[in-house]
Amino acid sequence: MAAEGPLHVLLQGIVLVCAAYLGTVYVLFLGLIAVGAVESAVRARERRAERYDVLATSRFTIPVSVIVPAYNEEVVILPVVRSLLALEYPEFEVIVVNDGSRDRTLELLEREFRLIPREVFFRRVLACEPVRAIYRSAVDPRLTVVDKGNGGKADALNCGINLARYRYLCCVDGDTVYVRDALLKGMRLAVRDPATVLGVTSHVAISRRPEAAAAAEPGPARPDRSLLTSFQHLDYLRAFFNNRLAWSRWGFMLCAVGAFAIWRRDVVRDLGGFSRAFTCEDIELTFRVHERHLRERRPCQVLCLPDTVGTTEGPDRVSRLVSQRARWQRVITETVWHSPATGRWGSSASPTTSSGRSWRRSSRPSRSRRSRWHGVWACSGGARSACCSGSLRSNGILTTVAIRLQDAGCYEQLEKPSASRREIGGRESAL
Amino acid sequence: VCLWTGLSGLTLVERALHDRRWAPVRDALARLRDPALHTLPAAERARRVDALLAPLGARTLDRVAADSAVPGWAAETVAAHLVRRGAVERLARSASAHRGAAAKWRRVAALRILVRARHGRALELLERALADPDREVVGAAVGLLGMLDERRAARLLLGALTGGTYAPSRVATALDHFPVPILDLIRPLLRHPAPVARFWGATLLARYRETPGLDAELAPLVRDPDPGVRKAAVETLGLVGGPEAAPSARALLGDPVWYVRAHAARALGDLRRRDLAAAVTPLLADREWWVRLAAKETLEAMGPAVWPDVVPYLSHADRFARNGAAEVLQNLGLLDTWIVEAARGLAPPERLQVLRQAAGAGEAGLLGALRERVEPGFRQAVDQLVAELGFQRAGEG
Repeated sequence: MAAEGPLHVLLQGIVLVCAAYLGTVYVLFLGLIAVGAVESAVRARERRAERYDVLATSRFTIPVSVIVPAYNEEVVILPVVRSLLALEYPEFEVIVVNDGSRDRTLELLEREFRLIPREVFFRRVLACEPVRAIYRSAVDPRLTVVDKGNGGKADALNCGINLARYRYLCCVDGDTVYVRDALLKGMRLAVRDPATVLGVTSHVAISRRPEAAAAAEPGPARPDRSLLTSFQHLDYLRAFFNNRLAWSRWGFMLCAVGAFAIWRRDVVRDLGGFSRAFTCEDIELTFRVHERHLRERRPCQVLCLPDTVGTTEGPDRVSRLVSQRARWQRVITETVWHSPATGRWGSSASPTTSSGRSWRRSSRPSRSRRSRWHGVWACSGGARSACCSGSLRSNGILTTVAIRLQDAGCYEQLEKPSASRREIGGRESAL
Repeated sequence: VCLWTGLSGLTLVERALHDRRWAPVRDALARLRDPALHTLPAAERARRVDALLAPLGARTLDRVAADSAVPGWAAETVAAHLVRRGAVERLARSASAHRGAAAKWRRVAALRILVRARHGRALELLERALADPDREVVGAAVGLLGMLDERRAARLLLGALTGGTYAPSRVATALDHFPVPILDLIRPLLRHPAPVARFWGATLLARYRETPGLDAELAPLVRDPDPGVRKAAVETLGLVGGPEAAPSARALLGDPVWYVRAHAARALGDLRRRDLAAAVTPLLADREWWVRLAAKETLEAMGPAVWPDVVPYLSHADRFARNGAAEVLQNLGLLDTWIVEAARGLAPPERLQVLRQAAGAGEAGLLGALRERVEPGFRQAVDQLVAELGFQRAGEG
């Protein structure tokens, strides 16, 4: 047998490192599954003991503003809005923000809900593209439609928040059809402890025809014929019922998903709203909410439900799916990159999650209060990147390498009042 | 790969076993729905139900009886069957204390079954649960106490409310849905030393709005030192009405706390009295956005007859007051009517002046929306009118 050369040793080393990484990832997965199962069981028991009939009719149930950003959603916008107006909840409003659609989204809404243009003098607390028109429905007074210039989803959400009148926001997608008790399920956790529960998210299913899937009777359903859709559905199930439930239990939810995220309005407003600088505003805001509250040592919970609250469309081609997942991956990297000080140790914490909280504590004593949590962000990012399906797992490694390098003050900049927030003698501008 | 395959297989097997376990339950529940069963005398019905449910295991029946997703009548039938089956001792043991997470949820389930069966020991066990250090047990006890139609349960809930045992809003929800009237138990809360008790006392009274004289009991609370109590009192006064309601609400329109002013305005709106519009209109120029919004919505709720009080605010020094007044006139539909009248040449000169002021106050957006709302046949005439009056067209400048 030939003697082992340096190349052989190097290859062995690489294989060992890869094996150790994969081993760590799989141990992490198993841990997440176990914790997710416990959390799911607890929430299921809570749910069985909840009096939904009382919650659905009580005047003390906190009202909610549902915000629907819509861009070129003519195919599905009507079933989406119908499903939202049919929600079983004592008091809520639906604000659809047409983000400069180039298709018939607005026209269909106008026709279906008999929209009437109204000049509404609202507060521009958060910066957004100019509003072209505001419509109120003659059919259902709870529906408001805003037509504005295209500025992206974060911009549309910020515009909706400016018009929202209730204490809680439910940010949803314009291509997701919701089940009737979606809001009731989500707000159940918030009303129990509004001071601590800042956000709630939940699972959405994937289908090629969301409106048909949402209208189906409860019970066993046939799998979607599209293999790609079924794959995404399973991936979402795994991501929500294993990972997010576990994160929810541990108190570092990575992302309250854009398809269904309930937020306390004052929290979003104080943080300056959704950031238009990031590609996936939902991940970034969730990070920022955690960062602010942990830094200021205020109680903070962003919870995940073990329920399916709606059905959405997923990418219908492999290329689009890869593009979507790459975008998510990029945002994780961006978000962690721009965090105030992820730190050398925080970056190498990924993808393990259990002890990240203390790793950075001693590395920079002068900022220890802030840096204490950086390990958490890093490991959250790493956990997510490691979890992003088989084809993208290699990106997990890239993320862990890329996390460090930056102590940017991006978050502080975002928290400053926007230049467009015009204060006149202590009042907000109405115009 | 073997591990994942094994886990996937286990999941499928578990699902199949679950379906198999629950098939007889579904069958039994379907048979319980039989209308003929419900027409039988109580003893005969109980005998039939017992025969139907006898093959099912106690743990399975426990889950059915404790599940809030099961229709109330079915859960109550199953709970009563469990009691007849001699499960009381077992349930009472589970419901009295717990050690560990699993036992905690068994305890909550046992409490629920005893409540649904209307068993005599339920109240005593719920009282003990209410004193438990675990918040989830306390929360469950609060919800279950609200299902009992016994006044002692209401007293326990009131004790939890004033003692801060659990989130007050959840306790108040249980009291607000209490199956029997408890007005006499709520009244003393109005004089309770704790502001939170007075707040909820005033809020909960709204359920008994038909009772005469409530306004006189609530009126002293508008002078309460706690703004939350003043807000609750005026909110309920708006719903209750009565001779004391309007003067009390008017007095709070100048309250130093903004949310009290906002609720005072809304309370006046709830009274649906057009003569109160003049008191609300100054709030269009309030320094707080929420108060201005409340004023606008209140004026709209009072109806089109408020316009003489609103029009002077179209030329108010405050820009918010001006565009708030324009928005009120728009939402009441008055601007739509007036612009068409003017386009037909039927509007008197003073009406044209009001339109000019409204357009100035509402600026370009208001005029654009107004033009879009009128019948297409009138648009040209409206455009001509706009040009004559010197309005600025939407989108210009």
